Amino acid sequence: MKTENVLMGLGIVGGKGYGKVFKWESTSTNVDINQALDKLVEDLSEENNLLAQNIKLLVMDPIFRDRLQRLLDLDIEPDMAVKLAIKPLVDRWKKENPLFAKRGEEMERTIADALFYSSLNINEDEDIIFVAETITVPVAIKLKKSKVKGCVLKYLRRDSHAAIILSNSKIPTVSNVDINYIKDGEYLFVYGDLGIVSREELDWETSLETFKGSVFKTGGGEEVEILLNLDFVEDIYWVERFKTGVGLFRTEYLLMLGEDLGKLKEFGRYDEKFILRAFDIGGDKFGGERSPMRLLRDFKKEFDSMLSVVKEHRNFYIMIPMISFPYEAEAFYNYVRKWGIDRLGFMIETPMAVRNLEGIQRYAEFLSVGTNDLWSLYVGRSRGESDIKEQINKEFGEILYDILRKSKVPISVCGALASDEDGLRFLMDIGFRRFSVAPSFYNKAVSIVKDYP
Amino acid sequence: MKKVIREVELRNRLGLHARPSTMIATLASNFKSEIFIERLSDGMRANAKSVFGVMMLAAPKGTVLKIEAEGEDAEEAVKAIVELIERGFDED
Repeated sequence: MKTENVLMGLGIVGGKGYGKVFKWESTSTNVDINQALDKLVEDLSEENNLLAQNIKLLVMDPIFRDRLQRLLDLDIEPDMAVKLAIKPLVDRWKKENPLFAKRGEEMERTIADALFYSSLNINEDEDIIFVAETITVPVAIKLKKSKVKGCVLKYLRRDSHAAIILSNSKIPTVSNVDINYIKDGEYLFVYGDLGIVSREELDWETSLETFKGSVFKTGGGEEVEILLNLDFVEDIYWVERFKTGVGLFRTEYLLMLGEDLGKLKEFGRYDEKFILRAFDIGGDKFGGERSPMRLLRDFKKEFDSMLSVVKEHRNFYIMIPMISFPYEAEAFYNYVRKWGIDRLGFMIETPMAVRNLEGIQRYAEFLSVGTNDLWSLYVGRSRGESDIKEQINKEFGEILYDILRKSKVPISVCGALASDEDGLRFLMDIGFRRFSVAPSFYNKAVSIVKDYP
Repeated sequence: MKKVIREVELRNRLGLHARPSTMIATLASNFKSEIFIERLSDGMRANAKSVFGVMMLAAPKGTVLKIEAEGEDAEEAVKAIVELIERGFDED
């Protein structure tokens, strides 16, 4: 296949679709907001699902509509008025429960989409591949009703309500695609199982095998390991799909949900490597102290639950975040050895850990570089404050090279830098050959590795 | 006018997110009584018939809620809402 004809992404809904591209750019110009919301309510009334009912009740709710009307009376633009009307709810969800935060943002987009809804007119006469930045429930419902054969998006969560509607409607869908390369009116194949969009028809079975596994060879024959970063046990789907292991499982979300850590045994069904990163209980999650020693003090019971699962499965490893000093590494080493576990690793994500790397690795079977925190701490910024591309520079490259040069045990990179096209090439240029990436980036990572000289 | 009050703890995994809030507002709308839900921890109060209001409570698992109804069918209303919450909104 010609690479310029293929775009890599993440399969959200399986199946194959072919059709003419309808590229949708939402616009709210000259929209009568109350009419748009009423039309949405009418269409949602036909939907027998709770979220559709939720949106319907919300846009009908007197509190919401009064608030919206007051904003419109102040001559605020309709799209901004909708966002401001829903804002108190979104803010409260973000503040009260981190698990609600993403849902709040989804809700905000959903309601804002009510405005764009009336501008979405799909030609019913031919097979359509719908291309957009992202979609929410109202648009997904519209696609379900239209003659859409495939959906290509820049962003869509697999567990979002819109994705569930697309799945129930059996519309092959690929997300995480750079849609700038897709032109309105051209013809495309959508391969939902592969997570690939192509201008030419592919040999499905061959292509499916191409994007599976943990180890791939560069053009020069060097082996490169690609594992996954996962957040929830339900994400096990990606292990099944890509036949690769997990280089970083963020256990803190299980703790925040009050879930039974025994659920982690689910991953014992697979032979692939599974690295549990013990709770990263930094200031952005539980507040306050970032010391890893808190695991051995306040979260001892939960940490023990994790260790009992690791002990039971030979393919499970435990990894400790936010280490700075060898004495911390030694304390964890002694603690897990009491459990009879030697599959212990540490994250290198503080400047002090870089300085003390030789001492820390004496207690490690492996290391993993957390580029997000490491970069933030070096430059004195909060998490998420900077663009990932800023990390691609000579100074940070020298720090990363120093880490790689000093390490005597297998070392990987699990930070977001490895899940960025330029970032991954940068890390490979430095010499790293083990990575753990977001599932949405797996296909692209495999392509980059195979194309690497 | 009859007034009924009961307390109940949220048991479902994610708390009062969109779907449970919809179930409460839909159920509450079937009754004539005025129905309010209050978060005991901070006294935040919402009209149970308003999905926006119920969602604004943003109550996570383990939150204790006070269900209060006033009207001719207050007893039935509180009973029905408490049962829905105790069933965990049939999520599991």
